[in-house]
Amino acid sequence: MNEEAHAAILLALGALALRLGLTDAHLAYIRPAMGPVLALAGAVLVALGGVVLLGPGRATARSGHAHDGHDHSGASRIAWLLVAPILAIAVVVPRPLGAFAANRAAATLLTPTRADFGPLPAPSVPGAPVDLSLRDFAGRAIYDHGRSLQGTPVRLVGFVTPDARGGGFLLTRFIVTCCAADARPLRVAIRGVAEPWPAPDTWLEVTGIWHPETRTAEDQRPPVLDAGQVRSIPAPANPYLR
Amino acid sequence: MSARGSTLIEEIEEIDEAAIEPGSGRSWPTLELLAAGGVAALLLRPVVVRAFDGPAAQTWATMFVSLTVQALPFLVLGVLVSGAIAAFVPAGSLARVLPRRSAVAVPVASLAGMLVPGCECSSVPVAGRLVAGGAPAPAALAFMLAAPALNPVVLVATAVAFPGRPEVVVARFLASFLTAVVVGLGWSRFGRRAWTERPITGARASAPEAAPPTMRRLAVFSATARHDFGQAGGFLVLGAATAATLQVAVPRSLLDGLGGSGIGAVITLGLLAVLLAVCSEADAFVAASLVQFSTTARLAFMVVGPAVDVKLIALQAGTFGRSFAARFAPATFLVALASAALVGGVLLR
Repeated sequence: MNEEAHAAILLALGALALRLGLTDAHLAYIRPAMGPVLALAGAVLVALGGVVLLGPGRATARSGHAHDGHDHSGASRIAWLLVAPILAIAVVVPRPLGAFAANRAAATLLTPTRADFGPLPAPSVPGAPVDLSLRDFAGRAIYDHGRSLQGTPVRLVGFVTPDARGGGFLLTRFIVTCCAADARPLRVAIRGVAEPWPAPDTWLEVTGIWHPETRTAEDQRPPVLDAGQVRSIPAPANPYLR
Repeated sequence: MSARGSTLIEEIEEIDEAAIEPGSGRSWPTLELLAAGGVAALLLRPVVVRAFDGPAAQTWATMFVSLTVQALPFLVLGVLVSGAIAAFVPAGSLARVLPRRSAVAVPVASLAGMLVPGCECSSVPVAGRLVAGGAPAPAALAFMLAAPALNPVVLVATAVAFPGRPEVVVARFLASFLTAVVVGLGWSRFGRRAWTERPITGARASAPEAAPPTMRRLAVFSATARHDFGQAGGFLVLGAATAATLQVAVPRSLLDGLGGSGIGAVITLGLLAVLLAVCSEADAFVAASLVQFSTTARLAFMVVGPAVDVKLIALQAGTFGRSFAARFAPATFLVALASAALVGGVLLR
């Protein structure tokens, strides 16, 4: 590959990384804290590519064009593969992981990140249901044996995945530590909703009460929410939980 | 090439060379080709979008972009360091600074890896440039294995993923350190110079000979960074595509039927670490979620992952050549499995 083409690819990839990092678009792929870092890396690539295309060496690089075919500069042919992520980011624009990926993930439950669950946070408006992340709800239901959840209406947000056992559907959220490749799904079984159930990948806000049940330590079933109200919502800006 | 720095005679020789080797001197209007490709991609966009609309293709594309985008900053950091080594570290000085005997140099280089808060994607190009700069290969390879596994960020992540079990963090540190040292020493005993020799055809700087030294160094720096990014980045894309394919093709629900604690579990999770290519900061959380396996098997997942996975094999093949990767990856895999089994057997009963 000649140096100019190589620089152009770096410039394009850098510009896309810069845009991903500065907008919410990176939230579908990597954790939020990496956004500025990605933008910085994009800026470095833009500079590395731009200095070739716009810098002082440009005129001669152009005139040396006729015999510049073999690799005196630029990079080997493998660098052409960098076109693939450029096309994927700019043309395909993949959506965040959804029901398909969740169905194929292992059915294991998450291990707790803490052992002491305090009392539930106060609702935003007195008398309203308590807003809980799916992670907090599942942690309390499984590892706190539901003590802090007993009888309190809570409101959860997640997307729909089918429940192979029937009787309802699963409300799902992915936990992502670095990037979507390490995503682990977190599931809560929603019961008490009349059919037809919402389609997979629909984002919902579900209000309900934890369904008390006894569990063994090896139990891999998701905790259950007896749903009252179900409302369809737009996908949140950050689709993943940390 | 450095057209400005070359004399007329060199220019003529260049043209002659091109005439003798058919094909090699083809003038490819690659920039124009790229522009045409860009226009075609925009025109064909609806077709491409529809082709990737199915859930499997969509999941593949998300995984592919995620793995690439996640690795990008670390790779940029890696090539900036490798560019700086090429431009500002005098040739041969690395060999002088490091202890001469491998028995000392390898553990020292492994511990030096602790100080680099990078991931596996930055340590590979840096190790490649260290070897090219004259550092002994065993020490550079030990550094390459140690840096992503032993740095403080990864150890803290492990402690968070396994709350109340500090012995897992200790076991991970010891097993990864053991892997780096054993592979480094093994390479100094059995490795051949020819396997790591190909590295890195130098990127030529396009600054004129008459330019001030600082300008020339900056030109070497930026040309090396560009060259190494193209080389390592191309292979990174290959590795990310492979890992994304395996993630989609081998659903983790297959593991639901598996599990257990014997040596079979250790091998299963070791292989899984190779296939999934999860980055070292996150692998502890994935390991923690694989509750149906013994802690030693999960330790193997965390020890193998930062040392050898499909993304890393591709990166190493790109940096050191294929004959290197074909020997280094299987050897490292076996050493990492054995280290995890040994340390796990002692510490994680």
